Amino acid sequence: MTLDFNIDDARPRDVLFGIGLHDSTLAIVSTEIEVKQALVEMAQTTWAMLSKHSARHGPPSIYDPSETHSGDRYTVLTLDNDLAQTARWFHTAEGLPEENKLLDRLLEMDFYFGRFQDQQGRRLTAIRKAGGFKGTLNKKGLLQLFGDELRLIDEKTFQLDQYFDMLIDNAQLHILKPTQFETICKMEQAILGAVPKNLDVIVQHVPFIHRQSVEVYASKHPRAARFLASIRQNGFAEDVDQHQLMDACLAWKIETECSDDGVVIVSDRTMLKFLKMLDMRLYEGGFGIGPKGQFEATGRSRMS
Amino acid sequence: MDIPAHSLCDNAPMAKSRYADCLGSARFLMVLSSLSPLFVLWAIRGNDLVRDRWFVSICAAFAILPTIALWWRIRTARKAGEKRLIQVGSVESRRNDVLAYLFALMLPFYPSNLEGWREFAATLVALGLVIYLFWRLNLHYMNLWFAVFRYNVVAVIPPPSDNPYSGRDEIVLITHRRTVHPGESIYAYRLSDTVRIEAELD
Repeated sequence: MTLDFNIDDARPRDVLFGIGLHDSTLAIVSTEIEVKQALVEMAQTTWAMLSKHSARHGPPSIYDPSETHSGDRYTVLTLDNDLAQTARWFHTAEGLPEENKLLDRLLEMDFYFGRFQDQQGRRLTAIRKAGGFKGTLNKKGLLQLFGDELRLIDEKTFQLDQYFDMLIDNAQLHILKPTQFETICKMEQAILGAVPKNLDVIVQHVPFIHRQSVEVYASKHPRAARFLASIRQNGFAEDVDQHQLMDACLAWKIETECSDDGVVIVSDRTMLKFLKMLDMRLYEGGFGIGPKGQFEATGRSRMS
Repeated sequence: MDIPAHSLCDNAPMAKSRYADCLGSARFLMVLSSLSPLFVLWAIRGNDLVRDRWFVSICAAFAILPTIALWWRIRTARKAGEKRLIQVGSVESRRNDVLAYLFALMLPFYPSNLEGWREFAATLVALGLVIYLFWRLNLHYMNLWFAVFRYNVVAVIPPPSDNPYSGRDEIVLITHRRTVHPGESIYAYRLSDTVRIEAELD
């Protein structure tokens, strides 16, 4: 996996520091040259960590909205993907306002970012969730060495981290911490908002499914909305045969009802199971090598 | 992996006030610098109420120090690499503002003489009003020195964008270019929230 940016250049053409607040304010904050150098080092460290992860675990997987994420996992998402819309906005925003007074609102900080431009004019945006450190702000718990003695710091303090949670180049997102990506880019709201759009694509392949009942259910249930996004992204609804699907619904005890015009209505009680089935998360065990029965996979990846 | 953590501001409130106030005072000093010809004219004209030695010194200080501060601000922005990329959507010339500038320079001269304290006080109040207006209306980019160094001043309006985070504010660009065309991208140093000077030498 390559980065569409010259990350090895210790002196990019331009480095900006900015912060994002919980109220969706995004602004640039003036910094000294030393801070810019520190941001470059952070971006370089992040890329080193991603490369190391890739060398150890193979090529990065594509971000899957229905997957349960935890810890470091190198995942990617192309910038033109609908799920990357917020990240794309962060990356392509021009003329961001300059708000040095935002540092007064450190406790409201959601994330901070560095924006870099290399000598070829390519842009890289690196974002880090403002984490636990802000919890210690204004609490007399921080120590600093003054001369040869430790003293309490009772002023607002902000500290840069060692690496970013994700890098965005002009082609794609390189995500190191998928959970932080989801929080920063407010993926839950984005996925809920994308339910109609995802259904538009899915029902083209399964026109016999009652769209409205799925849409109403998924609009209220974030988990169902995630399954829909995943089904669309992975193309799991393509080439679905109606008879085979109905047989599978019977086998998995998914309650369905067929209207006079042949449209299949899935009951709300079993809607989540139906979507899990389409999202390839239900499977049967047996085959003489393990217990027989029906199982649910919390994680899965395509082998071929 | 042993990675050093970096501290952005060991003393954030200090850093905050330094930057925030620095640009606020930079804007104020730019206003004073833009009115430096007025202080030169006052120094030449003199005043019967205040001894020449003091009056000329004060006027000279007001004429020179803010301009030095402006030069210092440009130097600081260059040194800190405070460059910003300006995307040009459309451009408006700011030459018409010269009339307002000349009018502002002449305004404190409305009394026929400064022999009485009341006329002198009225002149100072008029000057205060001019400074306030320049400050409030962001007219601090008008400066004789920019003309002396053959700079042009244009207002740049960003291109329309469906990105909700993109800025929509007009930026005043001080540049050596004779014309600025829509669609161009220009790197500029930040002098104040609304004024940039093109980074030409980097």
